Amino acid sequence: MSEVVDRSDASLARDAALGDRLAFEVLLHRHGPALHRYALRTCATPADAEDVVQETFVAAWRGLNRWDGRASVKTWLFAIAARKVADASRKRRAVPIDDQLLEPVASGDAGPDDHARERELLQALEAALDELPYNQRACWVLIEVEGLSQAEVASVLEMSPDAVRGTIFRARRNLTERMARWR
Amino acid sequence: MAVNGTPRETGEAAETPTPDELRRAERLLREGAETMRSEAAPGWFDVAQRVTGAVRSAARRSIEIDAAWPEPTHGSATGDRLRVSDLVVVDALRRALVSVPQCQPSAVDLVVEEEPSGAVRCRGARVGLVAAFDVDLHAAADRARRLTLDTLSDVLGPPPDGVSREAVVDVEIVDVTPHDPRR
Repeated sequence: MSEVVDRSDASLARDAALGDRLAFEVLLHRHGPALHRYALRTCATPADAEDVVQETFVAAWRGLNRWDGRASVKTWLFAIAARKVADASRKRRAVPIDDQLLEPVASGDAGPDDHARERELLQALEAALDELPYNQRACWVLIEVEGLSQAEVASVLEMSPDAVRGTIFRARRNLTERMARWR
Repeated sequence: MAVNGTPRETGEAAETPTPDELRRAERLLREGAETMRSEAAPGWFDVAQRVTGAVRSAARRSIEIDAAWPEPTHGSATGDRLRVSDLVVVDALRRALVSVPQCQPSAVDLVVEEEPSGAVRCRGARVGLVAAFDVDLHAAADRARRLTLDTLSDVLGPPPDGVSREAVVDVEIVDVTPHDPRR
């Protein structure tokens, strides 16, 4: 097992495409947490996020023979997840506000320790993210949290590279302004 | 920080943050993104159980291929048919091809043909291989071809009279990697 978990994504994906379930489950546990994080921040509810993750991996298992190695496995999985998020949002989605910066994030009572401060920072950031339009939120999470390049995000979200560049610029600006008064 | 109403609702412009506030906000954003990245999404363990279960029960599309009974007279005497899923055959080929050094199969397509009688026969296979750059490709392809023939024979039995499988076993080196592709 330890040998399997040390293998590259590409190697695991090739075996999984030919029926190796163990290899696929290693990919699931390797990339599942990131996909779950992404889904939680782009879906209306945690239940929708769980559904998206499940549907993403089932679709990936069934469609691995179509993965051609041009995109990384991670990018390919995020692309499936993004489509599932879009499907879910068509069914149900809290309507995002527009690009306008809205009210500043409310500050909490700063706790005495770093952990409390970290929790509060995260809550404030989550609240700020939640008010961004979907594309800005998705771009910011994929680039700043999940470490995808702008080119990879363009592929995942089926946007042009220029559109990604503009969207991440607006997302950063809005979040920065939103967080500027957090204490 | 309590703010009554959004700028749009109140008709007031959002107060412009100072440069110091913006710099601090940028730092907070970086910090927040890093914390998000390092944290498993809440509830991932339970989600992983559910997703793993769904993937394990997810079937891939398959076809059934007629195979020969171990005792040649068995089928003809009773009219019984032995059929094997193409997924089983492909998985057997994947396992067999492990023994081609420094190579990994990336695709296995079975060549099947439906006879007028309705029997689905396997006439051979096309195997895509990824090889390390210093591998003797001719030797690797030859070994892969022989293993494919042996495995098809093991799993499906000998080909029916007058049918040669050897003619349609194609091996294609689809990619060369700088290191062992199984890593």
